[in-house]
Amino acid sequence: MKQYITALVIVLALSMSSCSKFLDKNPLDQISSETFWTSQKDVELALSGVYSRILTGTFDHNTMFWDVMGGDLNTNQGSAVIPLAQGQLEPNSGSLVSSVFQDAYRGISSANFFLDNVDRAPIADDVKDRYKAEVLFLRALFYFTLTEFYGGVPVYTSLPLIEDAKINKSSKADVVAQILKDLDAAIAILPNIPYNGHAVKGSALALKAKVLLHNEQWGPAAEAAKQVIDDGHFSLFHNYRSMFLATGQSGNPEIMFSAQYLNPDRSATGPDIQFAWHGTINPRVELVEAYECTDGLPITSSPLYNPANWKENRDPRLALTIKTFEENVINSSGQEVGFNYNAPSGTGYMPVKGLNWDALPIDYSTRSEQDWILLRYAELLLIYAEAKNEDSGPDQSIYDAINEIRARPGIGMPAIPTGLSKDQMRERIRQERRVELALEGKRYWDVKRWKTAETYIPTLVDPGGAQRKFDPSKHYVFPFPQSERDTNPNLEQNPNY
Amino acid sequence: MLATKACLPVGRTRWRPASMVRCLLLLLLTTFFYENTLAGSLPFKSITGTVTDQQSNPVSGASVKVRGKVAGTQTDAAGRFTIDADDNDVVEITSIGYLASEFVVGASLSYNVVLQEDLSELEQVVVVGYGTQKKVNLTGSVSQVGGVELTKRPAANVQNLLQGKVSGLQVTQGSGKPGGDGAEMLIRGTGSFGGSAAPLVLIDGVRGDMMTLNPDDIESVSVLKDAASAAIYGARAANGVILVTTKRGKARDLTVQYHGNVQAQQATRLPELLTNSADYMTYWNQANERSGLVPYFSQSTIDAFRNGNDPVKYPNFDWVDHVFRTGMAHNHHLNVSGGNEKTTYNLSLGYLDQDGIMSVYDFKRYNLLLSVDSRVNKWLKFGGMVQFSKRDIMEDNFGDNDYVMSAYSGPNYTPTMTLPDGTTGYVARYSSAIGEWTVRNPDALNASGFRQKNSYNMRPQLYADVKLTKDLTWYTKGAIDFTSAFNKRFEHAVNNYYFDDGSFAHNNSVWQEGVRDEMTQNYETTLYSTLNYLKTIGHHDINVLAGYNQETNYYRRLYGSRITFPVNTISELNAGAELAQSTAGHASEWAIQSFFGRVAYAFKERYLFEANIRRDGTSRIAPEHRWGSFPSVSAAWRASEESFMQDVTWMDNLKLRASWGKLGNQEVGLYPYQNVLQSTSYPFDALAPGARLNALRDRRLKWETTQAVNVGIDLSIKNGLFSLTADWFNKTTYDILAQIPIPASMGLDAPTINYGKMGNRGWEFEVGHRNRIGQVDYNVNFNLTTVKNKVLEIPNTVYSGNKIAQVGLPWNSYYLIEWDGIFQNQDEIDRSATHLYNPQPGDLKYRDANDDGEISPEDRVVVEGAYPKFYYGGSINLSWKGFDLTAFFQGVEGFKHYVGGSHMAWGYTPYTQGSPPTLDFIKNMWTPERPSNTTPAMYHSQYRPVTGTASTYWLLDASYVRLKNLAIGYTFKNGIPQKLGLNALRVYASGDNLFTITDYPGADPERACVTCRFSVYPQVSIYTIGVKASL
Repeated sequence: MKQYITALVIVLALSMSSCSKFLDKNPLDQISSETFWTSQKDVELALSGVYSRILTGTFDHNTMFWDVMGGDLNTNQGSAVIPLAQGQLEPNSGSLVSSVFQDAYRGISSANFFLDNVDRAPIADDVKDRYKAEVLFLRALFYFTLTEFYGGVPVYTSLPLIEDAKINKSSKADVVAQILKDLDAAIAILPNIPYNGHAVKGSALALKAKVLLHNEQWGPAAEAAKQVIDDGHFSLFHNYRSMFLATGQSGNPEIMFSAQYLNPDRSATGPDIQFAWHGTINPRVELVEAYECTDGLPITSSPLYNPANWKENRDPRLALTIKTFEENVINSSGQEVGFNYNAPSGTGYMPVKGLNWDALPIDYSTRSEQDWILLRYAELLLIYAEAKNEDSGPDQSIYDAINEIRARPGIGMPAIPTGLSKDQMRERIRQERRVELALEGKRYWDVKRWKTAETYIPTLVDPGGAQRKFDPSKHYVFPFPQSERDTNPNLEQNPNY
Repeated sequence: MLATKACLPVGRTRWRPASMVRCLLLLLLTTFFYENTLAGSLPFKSITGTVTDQQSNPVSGASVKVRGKVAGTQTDAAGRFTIDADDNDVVEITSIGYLASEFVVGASLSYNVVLQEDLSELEQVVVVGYGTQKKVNLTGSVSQVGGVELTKRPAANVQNLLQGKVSGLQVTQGSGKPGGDGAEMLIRGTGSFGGSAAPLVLIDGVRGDMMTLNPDDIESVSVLKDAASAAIYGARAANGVILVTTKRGKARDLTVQYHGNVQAQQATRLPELLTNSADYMTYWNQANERSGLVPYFSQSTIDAFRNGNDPVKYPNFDWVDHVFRTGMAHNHHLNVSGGNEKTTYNLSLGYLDQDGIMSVYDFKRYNLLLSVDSRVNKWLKFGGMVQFSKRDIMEDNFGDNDYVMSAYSGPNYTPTMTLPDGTTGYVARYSSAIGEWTVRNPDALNASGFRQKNSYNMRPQLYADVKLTKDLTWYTKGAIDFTSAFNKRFEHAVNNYYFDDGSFAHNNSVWQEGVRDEMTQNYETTLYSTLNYLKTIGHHDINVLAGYNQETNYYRRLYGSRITFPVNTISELNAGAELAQSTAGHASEWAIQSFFGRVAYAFKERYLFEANIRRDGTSRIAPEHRWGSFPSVSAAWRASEESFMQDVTWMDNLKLRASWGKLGNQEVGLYPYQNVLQSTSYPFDALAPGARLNALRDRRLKWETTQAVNVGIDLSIKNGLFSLTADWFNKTTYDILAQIPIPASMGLDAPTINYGKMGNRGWEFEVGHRNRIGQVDYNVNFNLTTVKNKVLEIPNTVYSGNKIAQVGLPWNSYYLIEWDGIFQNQDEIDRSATHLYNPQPGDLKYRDANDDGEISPEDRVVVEGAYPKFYYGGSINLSWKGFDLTAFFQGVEGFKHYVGGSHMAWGYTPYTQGSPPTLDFIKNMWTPERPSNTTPAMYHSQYRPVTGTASTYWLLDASYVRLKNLAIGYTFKNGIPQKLGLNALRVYASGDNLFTITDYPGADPERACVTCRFSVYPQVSIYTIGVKASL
C-alpha cells in the first residue's frame, strides 16, 4: 500500500508542474483590445465610445459654471470655480484649469484611436466614411474647446507613443486651421438632414461658423451660417422653456448638436440635483437687470419697469431663465411646488432654464435626462448676424435674424429699432446673445473674444466682499496645468503665468 | 489495596454507617496482609480530585504524586485522579506545558487543581509555515499568542484581540460598529503604496477572513514578521503572514464546555455639544455676521427660546444624548470534544448577538466548527473539518459615519413636532430661511430605511497525513472557502418639516429611493501537499520540507435596483415598478501555483541554520514574467547551550538570530498587464453600447518585492523571571507599483509600472517578568515597536490633499501651512504676512515659512504625525488562589489626525451644516473681551479665514494610552463545581476601554483613517460578565 502511495506522490508531483494553462486568466467582463476592430459592431462600439466623451463636465450642464467666470453667475462658497473667477488663475489651480484640458484630450485620444484603427475593420466604405466624418466633427469640437480656453495647444491627429507625447503647442491659428480641415472633411460627407443624435451636416456647418466667428473670420463665418439657414433643415422651436427639457427635445428642429442623456442608465448627477437642489448656480443681479422690459427698452429707461417687482413687464425669457430663492414654481400637472435648496443663494436668485419642475422635490434618486444643447439654431442666427455685421455692416438679413428670435412664440418681444449703425447693431447683437443664451455656458467665451472682460469683470463684487479680477495681460487664456508642464517640458507656458 | 479503594469515599458517594462497618472489617483484613506498610501510622485516606487549566478545560495525563513517595498516578481523560495520602502530605501535580502545582492534604477528600500554563519559552511550540517548531529552535522572527491569552479579553472579533499583544503588529480598530469593528493590520510598517499593505492571513493553512471566526475557537495565532519565517509564502508574504490555528479535539472523555457572557456597550467618548437653543441661535447669528451673511434668527425668536415659557414651541434638545444608548450583547459558545487514541473530534457552536449603540445597528453571528481527526493505522492519519459562519449586519441606510454626522448636527430642536394639521412630523431644520445643506434628522433616518448585510462563509477542509518511512511524512490538504454575501439597501420617503411653521421641507432621501440589492459569491480552492523529512543523526538535526501549493479564485457580483415601490413595508425587488430599474454584473478570477522548500539544520541544538525558497507563478502577471523565486536564509546561535555557559545556571536561554530574504506582494490588481477597452454607452436615440480605450498598460508589470533583514536576540533568565526578545529589522520594498506621470494631452490614464522604492526600519521589544510571591503568581509583559518609513524612489513628488510623497520623507507625510496662533488686533494683521480671505481679529494666523510676505501654498511644511513614533502594549496578570486578574494597556504615540475637510467637521467645526459648536469651543473662543491664542472667534464652517486654509490648526494629536481591558475572574474550587454537577466553573467580569489618556478633543483618538472626518462611528467601552463551565 505504502509503495503505491509513494508512487502516487511522484505522479502527482509531475502532473502538477505540467499544467501551464492553470494560470491563464483573462478579464471576464471587459473587451480585450487585441481582438477588437474585426466587425462593423466593433466600429459602432468605438463610435459610441468617442461620443461618450462629451458626457463630461466640459460638454454637459457643468459648462454653466463657465458663466460664473463670465460674470453673469455666482456659485456657492467653497466651489473651486470661485477663486478662478476672482483671478486666482494659476497652473496649480486645478478645477477647470485641469478638467477642461483633460476632458477635451480624452475626447481627442478616443477620436484618434478610432481614426487610427477604423480602416482595419471589414466594413462598407460609405458607412465607414460617415462614421469617420462624425468623429472628425467631434475632434473639431474638442480642439475648438481647447483653443477657447488655452489658445494654442499641442496637436495630435493620431495616438502618440508615450515617448513622442512631448511636443510644444501649435499656434492658435494652426490649431484653428486643423479644426477647419476636420470640419470641411466632415461637411463633405455628413448627411444633410435634421439632427438625430448623430452629428449631421448642419451640426458641422454651425460649428464651423462658430469657430470662424470666434476667430474673427467674419465673411466665411457668415457664409457657413447662411448655408445652414438656406438649407432649411433647422428652425426656431415654439417653446423656449421646453426646448431645454427632455419633453421638448426629441426631434426638436432648433437643436443642432447636444450632449444626449437617457434615463435610467445614462444620467449623471444631473442639472436638477446640482442646480435645483444643491443650488450651486446663483444668477447675478447684473444679468437680471440686463433683460429688457416688454417694450423693448432697458430697465433704466423703460416706463414699464417696476423696481418693487423685478419680474413685472419684463422680457418673458427672464422668468424662463431665473427665479428668486424663495419662489415656488408650477409643475406640469399644475401644482405649486417648493424647493429644498441645500445652500443659500448668495445673490437671492436661482436658475430656471433647463430644470425640470416635475422632478421636485429633488433628492439623490432624481435622474435627469435633459440633453445639454451645444449648438442651436438661435445661436446660429446670432452667429450669422454678428459675422455679417462685422463683415459688411447692418443689412435686412441681420434684422431678420435677430427679430426672428425676439418674435419666438411665447416670447413676442418687439423688433429692434431700425436704422442702427454698425456699432449700435454690434451692441444689440451682444445684448441679444446675453439674454437669449443666458446660462448656456456661452458668456465667458463671448466676453473674452469681445475683450469686454477686462473692463466688466473687475467691476463685480462677490458676496462676502471679494472683488473679481481680470488681468488682460494673461487672463484671456488659461495657464496650462502645472502637471502638464512637468510631464511635457517642451510645452511652453502661456504668457505671464 | 483494592479493598481499601472500594471502601473509601470516591467522588460524590456519601458515608453510610452500614458500609463503614464493612469497611472496617476489610481494613482489618488488609492490615493483616500489609502490616509492614501500615505499622505505626494512621491509615491512608484515598483522596480524589480534578485537574483543569485556567480555562476550566480538564488536563488529562497529568502526573500526580505524593511528595516523598514513589508511587503516583495520572489524571484520566476528564482530568480526574485518585490517590492515597495522609493528612499534611504534599501532593504534587505536573504536566507538560503547565507550571507544577501542589496542595497540602487536609480534612477534605476532594481537591480541584488549576494548572497555570507554562509560558516559558523553552516549552513553547510555535506554528510556522507548513509546520510547527519549538520556539527555542526558531531562527526567524515569529510571535505567537495562545487562544487562552487572546480570550482573556471577551471581544467579538479576533483582529481586535491581537491589538497590543504582539510586537511589530499594528492593529487599529476602525470603530465599535457591531460586525464592522474590523481592524487595519500592518506588520512592521506600511510596506507598499502601490499594492496592498495588508498581511496574508491563513486560517488552518488556508486563506481566510478573521472576521468570520469566533475567538473561542482559536487555539493560537502566529505572526510571521521577517523574511526567514514568511518566505515560504513567497509572492504574498511581503506584508507579513498571520497564521490562525483553530481548536482540534483531544484524546479524552467527552467534554462539554460552555462559555457565555453578557455585555453592555457604550461610546467611549462623545463630543459635548451646545444644547441650549437660544445660545445656539445667538452664536449662529454671530458666525453669520462674521462671514458677512444675514443672521438667520430674529432677536424675538431668540428671546422666546431664552425665556423658556413654552418648552414645546421653544425647546432645547440634546441630540447626542438622544441618539447614543447602551447597547447590549450576549455571546454563547458551546464546545463538545473528546476522543481516543484513534479518533478525536471537536464541535463548537457559537452565537453572538450584539446591539449597536445607536439607530438600527445590530449584528448576529452564528458559528459552527466541526473537526474530526482519525488515525487509521500506524502510518495513515486523516481528518477534516468544516467551519461555517453566518453574519447578519443591520445598519443605518445613510452610512455609519454619516449617521454620526447627523447625530452631531441634529436639527437642534425636537426630533418630531406637531404639524398644523395635527399630525406628527419629523423636524428638518428651523425654517426655510436657513439654506444650509440639509441637516438630517437622525430619527427620520431611522424611519426611512436600512442597510442589511448577510454573509455566509463555509470552509470545508480534508487532509491526509501519511508516514511513508520512519522519517518521511507526506501531508496533503484540500480546502474550499466559499462566501456568499448579500447586501440590501432600502430607502423610502419620510417627510420632514420646518420647525417654525410646519411647512414641508424635504422627503429625507439620502441616496436613492427604492431597493438596491447586491449579491456576491467568492469561491476559492486550495490544494497543498508537502513532504517532510525529519532525522536526527547524533548531534545533527535535519529537517527538510518540499511542497506544492495551488489556489484558484472565482468572484461574481450581481446587482439590481428598482426605485418606485407601492408601499414602504415591502423591500423585495419584485414589488417595485420596472420603470427605471437597473442591473449590473461582474465576474473575475485569479490563480496561483507554487513550489516551495525548506532545509533546517541544527547542531547540538546550538547552531541553527535554515533556508527557504518559494517559486510562485501568478495569473496576474503576463505569462513571460509570471514566475518568480523568493529565497531566505537565517541562522541562530544559542549561546546558552555552549559548554562555557553551563555554569551560568540562571540563564535559561540566550539566542542570537539573523535572517535575510526576499518576499513578494502580488496584490497588484487582477489583470494589471492586459490591455482592455472600457465599456461605455451613448444614447443617440436609443442607448448604444460603446467601448473606449482609457488607459495605457505595461505588459512587463510584475509583483512588488521586499528585501528584509532581521537581527534579533532572545533572552530568558531564571525560568522566566525575566525575558526579553528584541529585533531590529530593515525592509526595503522595490518595484512598487507607481503610475508614471504622462502628459494629460495623451488623453489616457498613465500606465502603472514597477518603479517605487520604500523602506521601513525599526525596532521591536517584548519584555516579560514572571514570579510568585507568597500565594500570588504574577507576570508582566510589555511590547513596543517603532518603525520609520521612508520613500526611496518615486517617479515624482506627489501632493495629495494635505500630504506629500517625496523621496527621503515618510510616505504621505503631512504637508501643511503652520498655524501660528490667533490674530489679536488689526495692527497685528497689518504687520503680518498677507493672509488670504482678509482676516479679522480673532481669526487664525499662519506662519510665513518662506518669508515672502504672503501666505500661499509655498508656505507648506512637512509636519510629523502621519505615522506613530511607536506603539505599545502591556499586561499584568495576577493570580491568587482561585482569583485571577488581568490588566491590559495599549497605546500609540506621535500619531496625528487631520480633521478631514475642516469645513465639514461635524462635532468639531461650529455650524457645519448647522451642527452646534462644542462647549469646549465656546468656553475658549476668542472674543475682544477675552482674547485667546488657541481658539478663534465664533465662526461658521464656510468662513474661509478659519476653514479655507489647510493648516496645522486641524491636525489633532491622536496619541493615546488606554486600559484596553481589565478582567477579574474566579475559578471555583473545593468541590463546588462538582456539587453543581460540573467539572469546573469560572466566572469573570471584564471591562474594555475603561479609561483613555489622550489630548484628542471630544471623540475617540483610535481611528483607522487619519484624514477622515471627525464624526465616525464611536469606539465602545464594554462591560462584561461571563461564565465558563465544563462537564
